[in-house]
Amino acid sequence: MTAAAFALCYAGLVLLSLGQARQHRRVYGSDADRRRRTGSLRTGWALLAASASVSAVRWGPGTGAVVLLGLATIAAVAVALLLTYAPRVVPWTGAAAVGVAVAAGAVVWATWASAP
Amino acid sequence: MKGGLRQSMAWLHTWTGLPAGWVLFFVFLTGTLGYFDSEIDRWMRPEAPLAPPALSQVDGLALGLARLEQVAPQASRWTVFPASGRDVPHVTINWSGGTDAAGRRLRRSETLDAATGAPLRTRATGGGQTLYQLHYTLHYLPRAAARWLVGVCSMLMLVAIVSGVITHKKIFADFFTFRPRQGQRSWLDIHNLLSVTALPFHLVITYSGLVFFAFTYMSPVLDATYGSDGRDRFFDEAFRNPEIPPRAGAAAPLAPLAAMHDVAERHWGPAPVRTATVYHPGDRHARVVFRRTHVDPVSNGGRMVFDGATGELLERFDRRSGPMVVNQALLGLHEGLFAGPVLRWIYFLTGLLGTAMVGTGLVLWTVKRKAKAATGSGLSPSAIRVIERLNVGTIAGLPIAIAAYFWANRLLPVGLADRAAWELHALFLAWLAMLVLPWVRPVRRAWLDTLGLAAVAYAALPALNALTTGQHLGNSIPAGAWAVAGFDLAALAAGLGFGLAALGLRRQWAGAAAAGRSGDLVEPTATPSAATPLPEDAAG
Repeated sequence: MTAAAFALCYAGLVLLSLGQARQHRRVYGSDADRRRRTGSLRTGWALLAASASVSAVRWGPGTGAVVLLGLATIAAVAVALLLTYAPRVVPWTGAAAVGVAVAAGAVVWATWASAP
Repeated sequence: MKGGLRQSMAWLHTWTGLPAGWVLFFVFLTGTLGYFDSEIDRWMRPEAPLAPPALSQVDGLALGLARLEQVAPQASRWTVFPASGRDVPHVTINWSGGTDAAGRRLRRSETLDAATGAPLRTRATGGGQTLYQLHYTLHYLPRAAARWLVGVCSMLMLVAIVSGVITHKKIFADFFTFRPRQGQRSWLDIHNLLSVTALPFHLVITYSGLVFFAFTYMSPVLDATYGSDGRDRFFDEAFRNPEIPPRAGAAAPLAPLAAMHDVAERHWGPAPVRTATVYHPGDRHARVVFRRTHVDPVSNGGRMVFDGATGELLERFDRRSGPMVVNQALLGLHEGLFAGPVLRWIYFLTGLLGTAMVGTGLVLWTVKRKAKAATGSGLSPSAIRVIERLNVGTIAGLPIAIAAYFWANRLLPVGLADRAAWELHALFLAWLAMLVLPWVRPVRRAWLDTLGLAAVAYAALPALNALTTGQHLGNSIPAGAWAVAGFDLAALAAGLGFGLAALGLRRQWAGAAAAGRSGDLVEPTATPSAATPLPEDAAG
């Protein structure tokens, strides 16, 4: 569940960054239209909310909030450095993170379903 | 207030940050290492077995009591820490009571070997505990002076954080922005990135750091209610310390701790006991107090009091009083004792971000002032050079000093008198040397020298460990001793990081020199005025 929380948080921050005009230009070399930017921002916040829920379930609301802020800090620094040094791969790492989150979710669900 | 709010906040940010900067760098770095204090402890005591036998808490309590009965039958208070995970890997005991020949109150502690019950003979070392305590003891200063100095610097830090947020023009637009190789702008970018992404950590750590010594900083408030000599009574009431009756003077055997442990386990879950303290052991008025392990930021107030003679549970609470929970939550968040491996690494990494925030802030100050000085406005170049030298000696020099502490741990003879104290002297002597170096070398040369030396000092630690102990990576990893292996691997990573920094700087300065520019810590292409070399730059 830690992996899922981090992956969701990371993917959310990737989308938030792509929702910013400057970062979008760095990644794709072109401006995004308004609808696409708003879409990125909304999905990004939704993923962050999902990450927050996972943290809250895993660690409880108090510790979960601490973990969430910490994960977001690490993820934000990672996204920012990637945007600087390898902007083109940023969307792919975001997609991979969603994949990791889904896989981690499946594992958690399978363990939960097979528990007596 | 000329120039408006933002301008005055920028001024405030600059002039609160700079004077406190070097102390804060020290406080942040040594404090951050504290998140791995037990692991550092472990590495610095290579005589402890790599894979100690697992011991249940009940067995740990029995082991501790057996040793205490043997070495301290007359003590007025015994404490046993049964092994309870990362924080307390070995059964540890301490006791107090009686006085020594000089009239000092006796207080001793021992770490026990789980296999034999005998004390674990390890080299005398300050370990990770003394290292992290430096961030509020500052070592050579008297206790009160150190607390006040750290407190004033923390307050300045808090002012710098708030004014920094206000003065930051585009906190959201720049959230993900780092533009390298653009001189002053790059330094501002990275300083902003480190500050903004970890802002919750910086705020909580700084604020809670002040709360720690609130009773020192605001002692008149306490004295007004409790009187100047009522300090102990205040703490007893605040922490709800158990009331211990005086000695009865009649002997009574101690009731079995295993049964008490069962009660604790029923209420608190498995392995619940952090400490078990026995007051008046062997007396009819003996009391046994269990304190709970840290499972979340506020749970470390949990406590049970048993009658030591009958074993009856007299009093129990799982949390402190409501107001104390608020206080305790702040302190608990600061210490992170409740953190599991994931959160512990988060704490450590964000702590490094905080250290780097202070470091980049200090460098940014000089980069900015140099650009201004080159145009003839602002501070004199010589004043700036003093700051620059302090920066080299602290930002690159302090890590070397901490490495010296680890080197001293392995190289000082085991039989040396005051060995643990000499480990710390090695730390501060090395730091002193690093602070002097930039005065005898050109500043840029000193940056490269110190960073290069830091790279070697850390990268060679695993080799030093292998040469002086049997606990090198080839043994520690197969044994699953991740505290030891993790230390070696982290040292390698730190060495690599410093090495890359040194190489990167050298390449950049060489490139700048070839292009006929002065360069700064990076090329200041963003500020054409800085192209006039400062005198000492020509020498470098």
